Amino acid sequence: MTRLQHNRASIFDLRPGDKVMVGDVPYSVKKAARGGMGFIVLLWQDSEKAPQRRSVHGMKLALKTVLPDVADREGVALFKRELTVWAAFHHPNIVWLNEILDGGADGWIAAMDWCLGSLRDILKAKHRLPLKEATIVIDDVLEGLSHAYRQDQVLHLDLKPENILYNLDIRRMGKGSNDPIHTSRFMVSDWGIASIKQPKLNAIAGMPPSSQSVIRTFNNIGTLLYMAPERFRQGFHSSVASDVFSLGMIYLELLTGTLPFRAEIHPVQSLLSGQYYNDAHTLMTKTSVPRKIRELILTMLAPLVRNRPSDHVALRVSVVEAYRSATGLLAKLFN
Amino acid sequence: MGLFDFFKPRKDVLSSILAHPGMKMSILRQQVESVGAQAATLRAVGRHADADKAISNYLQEIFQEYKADPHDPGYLALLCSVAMRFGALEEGKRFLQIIVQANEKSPLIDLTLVYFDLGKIYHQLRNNPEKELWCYRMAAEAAPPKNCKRPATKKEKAKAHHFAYMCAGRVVGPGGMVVGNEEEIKYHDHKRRELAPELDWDDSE
Repeated sequence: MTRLQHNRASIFDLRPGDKVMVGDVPYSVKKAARGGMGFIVLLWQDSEKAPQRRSVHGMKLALKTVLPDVADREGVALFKRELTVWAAFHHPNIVWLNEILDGGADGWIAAMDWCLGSLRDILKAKHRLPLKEATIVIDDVLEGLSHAYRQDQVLHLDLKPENILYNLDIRRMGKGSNDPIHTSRFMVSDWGIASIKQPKLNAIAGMPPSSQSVIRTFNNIGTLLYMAPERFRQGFHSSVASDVFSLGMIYLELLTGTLPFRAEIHPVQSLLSGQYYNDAHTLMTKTSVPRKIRELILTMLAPLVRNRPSDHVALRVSVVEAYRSATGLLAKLFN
Repeated sequence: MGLFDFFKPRKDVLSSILAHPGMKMSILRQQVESVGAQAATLRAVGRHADADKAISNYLQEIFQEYKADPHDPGYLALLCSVAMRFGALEEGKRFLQIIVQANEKSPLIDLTLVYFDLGKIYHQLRNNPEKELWCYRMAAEAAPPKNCKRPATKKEKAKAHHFAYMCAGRVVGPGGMVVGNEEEIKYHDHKRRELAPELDWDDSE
């Protein structure tokens, strides 16, 4: 395991401008920030001092580790579990875990792809997206989720705009536009509370008590708004449908700029009573979301698991069909 | 890219680059670092079987490219170096043996480099010096078939003889005796000098 070296007592003390060595490659800290449970450090390679040998990390690199205040035994176990799941994913629509670094007393540190920002940043700047752009994002995320499920039967279970990152993609860099939607690909990140359906992998990951991780998740309102209703009920068994629900919520937010929750009703109450479903319908009608897309999103948001799509590939086909119907000639005449 | 290609409007720059025949090898070579990193990451979290699988898939990918263009010796060299770098020696050996067997049935390429690479893998395995020597012998003696597009160069042949020479002098029997045939050692020494007289062979020892 490659050693991370720096002059501070701990990775959490790193400040912009500090020098960091990843193996024999020198980097400078550009930014260090706290997240919900993790600590992120953005590094840029010192090009003049870099050795001739190519680094697998490239010029820019992000380090991620668990915060010291949550780095109890369970926090560390959860982080290791996340890395165990994440390590196998090598797909354009999943943020790549380049390497696991040895941070000494700081424990394991994930060296991951440096990304330009998250879908939340785009939403903050644009409020909402046109249908085509929103559908591209959803398709990218679906590709990533589909790969994770095909590869290791892993469900994400924490999908939200903050966990969808984007980076420039050479395949999409065309003429003119500097808009990230047109020049980037979207990638799923943060597998912290992913559900592993494969027993062999589950055994390696050494799953910590699930109740604790659920409590931590519940404390995070940002995550709660995208959680499927069944997840608040006793005896919840995760399935593809849980991720489909979250994705439906994101699709809705991308198109309408808001989520179907009222200020006077607690989101959990709305989710459990099915109020959100009616509100989603009203919201999409008000914002003129095309009928076929509206129907698709409502299927993805169905309160009952059995009424939601439960297969990534079938869902992608439905998204294509809905988009084609929504943008075809008939739609232009009648919508 | 997938179902949405029809409406993802960008010009697919990467695909057009990849379509260039010379780029496949370059892309495959660039993957060495990322596959190595992925395997290391998987091993770090205890997923050794998955790490082996990632390397095996990569070797398989190189092998498929080799099959599409068997006359390009670059794929063989890459296959061998990846197998040795990542310790997938048995896997590398298996692929090279498949190439040898296929070529015995319908000769297509000069097996010099294949046997030579196989010898290097046996050397790394360190469990069968006789077989290693046999591979270098075969590499030295391999002749290109009629339609071979890329016969081994004199220098490559000289290299095979050189390794056979070194190996024959190194192989020891149970009593610590050199079992390489004295005449054979002389033969390979003579051949390497004959094939590449421009090199200072005495300096290499």
